[in-house]
Amino acid sequence: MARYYAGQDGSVELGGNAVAKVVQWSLAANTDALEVTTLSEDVRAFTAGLRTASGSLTVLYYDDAPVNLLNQVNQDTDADAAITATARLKLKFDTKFFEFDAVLTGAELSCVVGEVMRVNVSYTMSGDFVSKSL
Amino acid sequence: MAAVSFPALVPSSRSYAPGIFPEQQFQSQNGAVIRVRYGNQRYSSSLSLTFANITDANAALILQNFVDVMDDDNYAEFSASNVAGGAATELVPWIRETNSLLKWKYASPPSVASVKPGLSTVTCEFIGELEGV
Repeated sequence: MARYYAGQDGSVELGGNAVAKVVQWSLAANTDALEVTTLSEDVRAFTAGLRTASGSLTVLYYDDAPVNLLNQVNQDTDADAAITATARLKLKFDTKFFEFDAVLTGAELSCVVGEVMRVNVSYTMSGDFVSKSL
Repeated sequence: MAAVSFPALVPSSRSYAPGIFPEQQFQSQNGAVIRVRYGNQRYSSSLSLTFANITDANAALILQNFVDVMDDDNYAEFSASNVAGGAATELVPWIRETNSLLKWKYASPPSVASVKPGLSTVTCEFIGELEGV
């Protein structure tokens, strides 16, 4: 039977360091469709445009909270001198992975009765994939 | 004056206006209008073309056509399969101005907007001028 992958295979690295307590990560890759239809055609035609990727990850806020992740979102260079404009993210599942530079565009902290506090971080990829293994 | 063939490119959008006739209007105080007609040929027809997301090589062909037409007393010549592509047979002579004495000149230089590496969008404005009348 073919090997399948589940949530327990997933993990995330930020700048080469594993991020603890990751609950979820997602990646959406898109390619713009540029219209090249001419007036002599009856059906719309397209060619490939720019490629983009974006997504989000959710982390539980334990004592070993992803503070460096939040500082990266806020570009807080006072808190961490290692922070740069983009962060190197590596989204993994088992031995497979996507590695790329990204701008962390948002962080949403939620504290809800009956739930562990969690942080939802969104990102947009900058440049192409540095490496990937599928 | 020589015809310069436009590259074999079909536009993605096209807008044509047939121009006007040479005349002067005089309006009396009671509102009546008198027109003095100075000719029976229309002039200043206009044609706007957009070539969306074409290759840079094709964009360069249009720029070269602009130079070839405007660096001498030449005019652009269109065919039913390029600029008039997709138009009904009855409309083609208007777009090509083969049913008049008008000749197509560039009203302004073509505009090239780069979309992504290797792709550009080019817009052209033509004006129909009376020649040899």
